[in-house]
Amino acid sequence: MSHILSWLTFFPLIGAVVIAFMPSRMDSLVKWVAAATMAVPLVLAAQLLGMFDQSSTAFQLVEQYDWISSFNIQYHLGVDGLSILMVLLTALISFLAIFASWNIKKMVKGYFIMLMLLHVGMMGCFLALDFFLFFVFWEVMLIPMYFLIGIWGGEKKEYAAIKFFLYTMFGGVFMLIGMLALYFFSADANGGVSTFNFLELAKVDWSQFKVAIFGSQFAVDKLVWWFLFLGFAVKVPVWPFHTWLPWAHVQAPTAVSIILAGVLLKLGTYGFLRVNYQLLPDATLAFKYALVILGVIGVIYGAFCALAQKDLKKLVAYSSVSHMGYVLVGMAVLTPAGIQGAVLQMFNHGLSAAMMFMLVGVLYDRLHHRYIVTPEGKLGFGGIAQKAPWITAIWMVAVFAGMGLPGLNGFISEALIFLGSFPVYRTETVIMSIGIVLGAAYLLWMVQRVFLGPFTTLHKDTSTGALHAAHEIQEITGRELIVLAPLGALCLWVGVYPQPFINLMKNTLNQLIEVVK
Amino acid sequence: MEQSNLITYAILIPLLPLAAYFIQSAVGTRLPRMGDWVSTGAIFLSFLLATQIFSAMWGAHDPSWVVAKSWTWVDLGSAGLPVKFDIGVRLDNLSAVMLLMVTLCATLIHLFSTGYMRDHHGHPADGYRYASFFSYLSLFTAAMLGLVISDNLLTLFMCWEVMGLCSYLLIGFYRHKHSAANASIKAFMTTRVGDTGLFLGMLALFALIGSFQFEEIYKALQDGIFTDPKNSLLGFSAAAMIGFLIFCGTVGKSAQFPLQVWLPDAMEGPTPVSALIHAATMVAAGVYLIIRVFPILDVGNVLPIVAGIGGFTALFAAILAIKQNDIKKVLAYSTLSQLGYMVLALGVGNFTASFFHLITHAVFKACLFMCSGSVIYAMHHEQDMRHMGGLAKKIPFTFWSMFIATLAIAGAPFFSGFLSKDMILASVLGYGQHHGGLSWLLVVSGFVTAGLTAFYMFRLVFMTFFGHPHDHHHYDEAHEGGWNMWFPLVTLAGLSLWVVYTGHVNPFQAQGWFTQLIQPPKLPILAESVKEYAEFEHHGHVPAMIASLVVATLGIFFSWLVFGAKKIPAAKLAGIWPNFVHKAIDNLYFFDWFYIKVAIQKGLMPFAKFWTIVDDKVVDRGMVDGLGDVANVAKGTINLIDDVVVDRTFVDGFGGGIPSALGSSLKVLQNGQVQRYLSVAVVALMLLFFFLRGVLF
Repeated sequence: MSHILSWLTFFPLIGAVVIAFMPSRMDSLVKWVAAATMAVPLVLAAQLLGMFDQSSTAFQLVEQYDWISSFNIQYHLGVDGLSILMVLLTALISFLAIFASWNIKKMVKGYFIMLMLLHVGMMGCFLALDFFLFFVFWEVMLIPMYFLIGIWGGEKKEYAAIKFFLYTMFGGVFMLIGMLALYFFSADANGGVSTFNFLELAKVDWSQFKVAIFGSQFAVDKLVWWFLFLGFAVKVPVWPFHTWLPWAHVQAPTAVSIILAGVLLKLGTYGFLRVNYQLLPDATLAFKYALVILGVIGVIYGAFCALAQKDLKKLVAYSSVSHMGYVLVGMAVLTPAGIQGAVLQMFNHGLSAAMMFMLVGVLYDRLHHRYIVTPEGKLGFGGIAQKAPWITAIWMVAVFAGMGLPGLNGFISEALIFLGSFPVYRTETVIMSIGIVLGAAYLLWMVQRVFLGPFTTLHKDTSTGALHAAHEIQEITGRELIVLAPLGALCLWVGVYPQPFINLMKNTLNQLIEVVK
Repeated sequence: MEQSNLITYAILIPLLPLAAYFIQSAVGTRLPRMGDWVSTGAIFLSFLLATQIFSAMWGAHDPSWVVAKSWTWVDLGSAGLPVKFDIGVRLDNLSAVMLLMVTLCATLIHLFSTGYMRDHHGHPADGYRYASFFSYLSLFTAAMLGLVISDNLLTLFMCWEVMGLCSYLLIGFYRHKHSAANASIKAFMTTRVGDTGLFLGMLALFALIGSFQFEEIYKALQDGIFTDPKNSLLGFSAAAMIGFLIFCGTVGKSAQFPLQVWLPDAMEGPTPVSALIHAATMVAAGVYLIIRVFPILDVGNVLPIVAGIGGFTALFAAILAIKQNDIKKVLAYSTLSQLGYMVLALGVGNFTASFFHLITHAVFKACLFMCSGSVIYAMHHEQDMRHMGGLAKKIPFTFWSMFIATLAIAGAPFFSGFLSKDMILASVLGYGQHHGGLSWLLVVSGFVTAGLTAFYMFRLVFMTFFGHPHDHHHYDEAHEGGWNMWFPLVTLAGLSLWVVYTGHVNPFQAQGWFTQLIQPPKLPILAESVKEYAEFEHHGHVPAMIASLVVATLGIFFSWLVFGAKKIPAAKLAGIWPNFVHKAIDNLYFFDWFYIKVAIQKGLMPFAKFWTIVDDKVVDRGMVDGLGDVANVAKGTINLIDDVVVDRTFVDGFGGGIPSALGSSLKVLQNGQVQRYLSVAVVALMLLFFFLRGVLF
């Protein structure tokens, strides 16, 4: 199929238009249209996988057209070993998110339209090879995300939405400045023509440019590196730019949390690799240690915060901060094991975090609260294993995938990151290993309080807001299994036989190391 | 037999129980008998395959017999140096013996469970969870067998962690009990601490030699890579550092001091689990690990630390065992103590004795645990020995099996424990004589522990099986389980006889097929020290045997005086010790108190809470205020543009473009001031940049 990447990105728009014109009383049909629409990118992604040449390090299936020619802005898409896994993940998670949204009651049409727009933004970001186009997609994501949290969210949705928006906007501003700086400077290196093209920008020798600010000289690439860093760091989120994340997660509806943790966070680390690493290798080499330090802080700090959380979803949110810290360290050490571990960890965390947020939603749908410990200091859950063994079993898969149990996906990527980083930053790696113990601690302690012991789970009455003892918990439903089963199966597959996933990326990433070094 | 066949068998051995795990998880509850025969059958087939491997090894009769094959599991390509992980199967005398022991014990324990996990009417005691129980047992067995056949530390570690998972699941099997949940998390977390050390050791190892395979490790040791000063870590040689870190894994898994706290609590699990995981196999895997990496420990001079930890744990746990009244707790502390013996044996360089004791202990301890299970079953889940007594007549198979296994653990002649323990004590004595000074403490610990072991184990037997029943209701109803419950006991008791391990009739002569076949790896770099270690055993042999017979006899005799004949009241014996001793023992030397009440509740948790407050009040606030400032600046600078350009074009334009159904509700959000200013700020900065470019650059 020609233009497969464009179809992959924009096909959901067709569904969005169809849904927009459907009468709003056909809510259940809207869901099915949405599911059918999102199945197409998933099929296309599978087809893309067949067409993808693993041995090549170049961009493949490239589509390149002039878009705004007066500014030399192009419509330029392509896929390589760095983005292929993320593309697959995006297609999968977007599809599963539809089924995770089945319970949406409010403004159903608008909700699914927003989900589809979100897909366009995410997919576009992973495929764009023109910085301007990348930025457009980046900002496109922001708007549906803002509304999804702000309209369909929990009790404090407005605050969470604004917080998310502010933070990301703040990062976006810096990214924009960095992008424009690269654009304008590239003219001098590129025969007078400025460019947003990633491939052209990567060829520029940035060390020749200096800029005077208040009388002192700065190397342009070093300065721009930090601007871009801020843009991406908010998204990852790198400590200390992470405080929007727990809010956004806690307030967002289940499907949005799944997308947020499953895909959106990866855009930050993807941005580092795609932009900072490929365009500004010298600056990356100079500042990589900052990434290591921030990563290690993220790992430990996120784990400690998770340990003390009383809200189940917040706990999972902080575990994301912790797990994304590993990604930063892995990519910063510039070894094959480290960088491949980092990208694999992005993929793996996408699977296991999506699973966990879905499972939080499963409990929330049944009990209407998320208190591990209620504000009165009682346990909000307890002994769920007695009443719902299947829910518990699937939780266990997600929990053990998250804590890096061998045989499940988290182990292989974390092990690769540790193996990659140990020879380079020994002390930092040893400190980071505290995260292994803490990771098990906060997850198992949660499991103990939520699932084990006698059945003492509370149920929140949605009309009065009062908590009282629950009697039964409905077991997992078929719809929920549609979301959870593929994720669980992939967790197992990556854990047992990761080589196919590594083959997709290893050549590109190893070459990226060469570029930076 | 052909080598490729052996490799296929070796791979099938863990895969069969693994398949049983998946079958049981998926459809176990729907199968006849809830599928207990699936798991039991799978492990029995593995046992048959293991006998094939064992007989191939037996046929070769060569201490350095190896059949190995490896594959590339993960290949990361290369940027500079190629990075890949090879994994494979290694069959040698150690793994062949280990496979046979594990599959045999596991098969018998599975069989025992088919009785124990049912109530007295033959119904599964925990409903559908009977199926889960067998699925977990199968997964555990698969992991344990995978660990045994691993030719590398990577798959060994992976199986190691999966065993930890199964241990967690099975300790917490009685999900309705808080105590079970607490014990399971404690076990997982404590071993995880040790595992982190092991993991760091593996990282250092891979950084050093680029492989996890034992063959490569031995080769690199021989090439001096581990001792090269330029590879030293923190001032220690690489061998010392890596060896020590790997040993941390053993300390966790084999519950050695100071990570011993989890094992006694692990008795919350069903008794067959205690027999399989917390006596015969998983905890012994820690010892198996250090036996595998013995060359690193030796070259790195880590062995004195190993000996110290092992010797200390042996004595320390034996003292605790004396005061326990829960029948399983006595066995748990004796397991700790015996594991200490194994670690001590390796520490004084007796490779063979360490593995010998691992095997003999696995057999008699699995027997003891299942006997205790049989007692508990007969007594309708009563575990307190003070409520037992006089059971010998009621459950004779159990009594005789337990009696034999107790003689074995106490080190009485004619039984396997005598041979292996005697080898250890001989080495320890020789070690003490040679090194003098503090190493005499190891000798004292070794012999005192031997005496104490005989004492507390016979205390258990006397309290349970002799004297008068204390609970007539339970006593009257007590009866032996079905054949599936007594057959495993009798078999394992039979395997506790000396002749099984030597192949000749002299009960005092440990030398036999086992000692001939199990020898340290033949590395030139080890040759010197291995010879020296053999000297220790040789020197210590005769006095050690006499001394160990004396202490064992004394132990049994005193036990009889106090608990059998009741010539000395137990209270009087207890009374001669000062109060602080009792207090220390009752509180398990305050380790649990320190770890849980101090380190976790007073240290870790407040620390974590502190950081959440910091996160909320400092990081979040700081960022938000910072952003607020940005927004204010933007607001002040470009208020005008906001009203004229942005409000009209951005907000109205966008608002008009979306369906009106959304529009009305969105208006509310759009009235929020801040985000508007931020969007303004973006535009403004863009413009600013265009202007500044002309001025600045």
